Amino acid sequence: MTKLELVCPAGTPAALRIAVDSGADAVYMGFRDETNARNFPGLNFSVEELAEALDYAHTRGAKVLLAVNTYAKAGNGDPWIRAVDNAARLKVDAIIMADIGLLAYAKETHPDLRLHLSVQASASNPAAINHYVQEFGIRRVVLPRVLTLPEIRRINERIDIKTEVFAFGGMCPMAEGRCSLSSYITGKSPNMNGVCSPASHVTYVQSGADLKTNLAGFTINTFGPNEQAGYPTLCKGRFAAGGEVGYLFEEPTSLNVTGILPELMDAGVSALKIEGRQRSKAYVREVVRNFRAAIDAAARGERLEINMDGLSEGGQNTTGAYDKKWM
Amino acid sequence: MDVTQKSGLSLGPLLFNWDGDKTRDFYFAIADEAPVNHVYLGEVVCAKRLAGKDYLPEVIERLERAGKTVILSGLMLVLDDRDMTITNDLATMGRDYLVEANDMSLVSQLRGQNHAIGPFINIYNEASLKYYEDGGASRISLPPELPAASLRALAHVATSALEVQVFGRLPLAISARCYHARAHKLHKDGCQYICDRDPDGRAVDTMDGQPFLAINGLQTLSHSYINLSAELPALQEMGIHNFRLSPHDVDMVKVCTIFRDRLEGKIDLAEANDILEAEVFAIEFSNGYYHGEAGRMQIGT
Amino acid sequence: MPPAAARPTDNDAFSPLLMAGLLLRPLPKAPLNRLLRHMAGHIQKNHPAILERLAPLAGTEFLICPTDLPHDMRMIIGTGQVDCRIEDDIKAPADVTISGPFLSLMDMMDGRIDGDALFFSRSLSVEGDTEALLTLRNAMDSEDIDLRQEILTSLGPLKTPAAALLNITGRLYHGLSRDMSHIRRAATASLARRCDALTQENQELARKTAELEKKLTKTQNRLQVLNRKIPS
Repeated sequence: MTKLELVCPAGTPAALRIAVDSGADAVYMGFRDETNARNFPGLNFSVEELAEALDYAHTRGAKVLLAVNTYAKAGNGDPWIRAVDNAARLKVDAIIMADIGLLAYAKETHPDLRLHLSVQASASNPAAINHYVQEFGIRRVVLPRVLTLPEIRRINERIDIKTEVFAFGGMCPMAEGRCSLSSYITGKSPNMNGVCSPASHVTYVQSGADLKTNLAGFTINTFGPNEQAGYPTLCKGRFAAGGEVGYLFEEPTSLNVTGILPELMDAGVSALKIEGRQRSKAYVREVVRNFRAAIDAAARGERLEINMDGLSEGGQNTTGAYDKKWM
Repeated sequence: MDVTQKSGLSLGPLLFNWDGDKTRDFYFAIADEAPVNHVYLGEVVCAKRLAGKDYLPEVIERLERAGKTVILSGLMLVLDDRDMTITNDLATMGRDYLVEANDMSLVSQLRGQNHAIGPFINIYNEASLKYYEDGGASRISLPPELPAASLRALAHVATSALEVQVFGRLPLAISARCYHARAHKLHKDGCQYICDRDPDGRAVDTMDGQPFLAINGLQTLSHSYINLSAELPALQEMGIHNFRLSPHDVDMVKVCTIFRDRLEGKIDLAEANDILEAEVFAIEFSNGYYHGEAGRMQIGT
Repeated sequence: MPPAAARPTDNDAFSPLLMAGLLLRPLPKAPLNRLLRHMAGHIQKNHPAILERLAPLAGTEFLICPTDLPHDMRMIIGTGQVDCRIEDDIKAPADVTISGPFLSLMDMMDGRIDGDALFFSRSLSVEGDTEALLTLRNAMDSEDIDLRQEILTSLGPLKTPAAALLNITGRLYHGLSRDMSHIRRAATASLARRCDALTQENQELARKTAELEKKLTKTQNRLQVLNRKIPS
């Protein structure tokens, strides 16, 4: 059985070095603008930094994947075109994209550029994935976080490219790339601006011993004095629907699949993606190290479940949609 | 207003889980009385809801007899074999009807023939628009979060008929998880079709009681209803001539009539909004996306 | 107190350095300010990429309030420079106020521990411009900075005695930290066991506190000597 590939986040050059040194097989990142889905202030790479990152990673046998996974803006697509051109010029190992117009551009202009389909394209079935394969020659698909293990297996049986699934970190309960909740409330969306529930619209209010988290004037959650807090992502708050208050969409929680690696391998998955380009070096170091150990163990036929609740939102972990009970 | 091209009104697919009889009666009324040109039919939210509903042939016949063009809409999230079967069936019907794809699985089967693209397919720029037009899409409903600047840029190069939603709750998200079932502490598999209790979606408020969103089974909608009656002239001026009204459990014939009267200049804006407000009492209107702001906002009066 | 700044709750304030801070009388401001200026200058010179990432924050003011030390710090982001100074009586509100245990704040800025995790666990509290704080955190995280090392480097020829001092402080802190974590664990045990444990821990702690008190007095003396030596 082949080993799962470990794909790790790098929000900054320092995080990239740590990811590579901690055992990442591949590192993914974005440019410092709206062309990627973690367009957060102070984060990401300049073109020069990407060149250095490629050098650092390649010298140590790790791959570099560039995410250009937002949707180009009508009337001003230049930043996206530039990002694709720079990726091709610097020879990244693959570019991760969702926008069909950009995929068409990349295929036509840079036929040697390896294309991965971003989770933001929300290709959730074999017919959709095969369409991208036939039209654009994509070589890998990052599967949406709404699929169960049996569904992933069925997809793998019916496609000829490799699949990458999310393994750790933030959980989108919605189909990615098809969610406008953030822009409805804040005006900024993952698809157009590369952000969800952006910090520019977040305020924390300490009221007595309670912590209130607020997004664009809406209370997303209130945490008691000893309660683990979460970031005010709007689908992970407490809301009232029909009189009852609770986590209607999703709890503050993080995905952690270290306990089900044998099942993921069995379902035909090739690569594991760690979420969290916006998280710190410390997060990258610990998560990558742990996954390196868990993946190596799984390759030996062992199961190594590693608790990382301390790094998780709300201090709790889930296996998400991979387990049908999540639905 | 652009007089060279006549504007069309369409009734979007019913997003909610109404029972068969209610749905049939609703569409019969639309067929007989509503001044709309196109009617989208079909389940776009949840395949489970189709169980036991057989009104479609009658409704199609009645609508066509009334001179309306029927467009069949596909599911927006295709996950399992049941979803795929429905998608394949629709693709087959694409020979006889205009079919609207809301997932790439259906797009792939409709390419090369005349078809429609729904608002759940991501078209944010000219190159994407061209990709779908080149594949045979003659009618394209754009994603609701596009601002006027993007709409204008797309309309400038479009060879297809572009459409935008101008009335009703905005479809904001889709999930594999059923929020109606979850709100009622049920599992998705044993959901008891509980989303049928909320014919306009179930209101979601913040802990402080602010209106926030609405849930509709797997779907999450806006709390507010988009109302672009004030923006119609600007949309026409930029070359967008098709306007989608999303069905709600209100007098939709009246809503359609108001928008038709607005397009034809028979009533003024204030009068139109007065009637709309009376019809959807206690619901806020919004037009923020169009103005490049948060979708929930209402810009201008 | 700034009007908007939130002080952590009683629970958060139960921190080892608080005890140390109570024992440790406030240090003279001038030499500390000089130290901070040196440090800021050093980071500016050696990590220009950080300043580049901080550029959108020009004019933003941060208040950094270690909950267990008698000093607060104001940091002002300028154009191509950062200005840091001690501010004990907070005179004006800042754009962002961040409060937490001193070593946690330092470890977060060093990239040794994850800031989000600290926030999730309620060890840190934040008020004000969340985006500005995120920018600062990301910028600091983008380079490999060792704040302890930066402090030492800023001290120049005095770095050897200071390193010893920092080590002592660190050891003191971690010693106290261990003691406190014993008590915390005890607090979650059953009531009877907790009472027993508390009695034992109290005795143990009383002994250690006495010991530490002595060490702290020594440390304080050495710090004062050191401060006089820092060239003006």
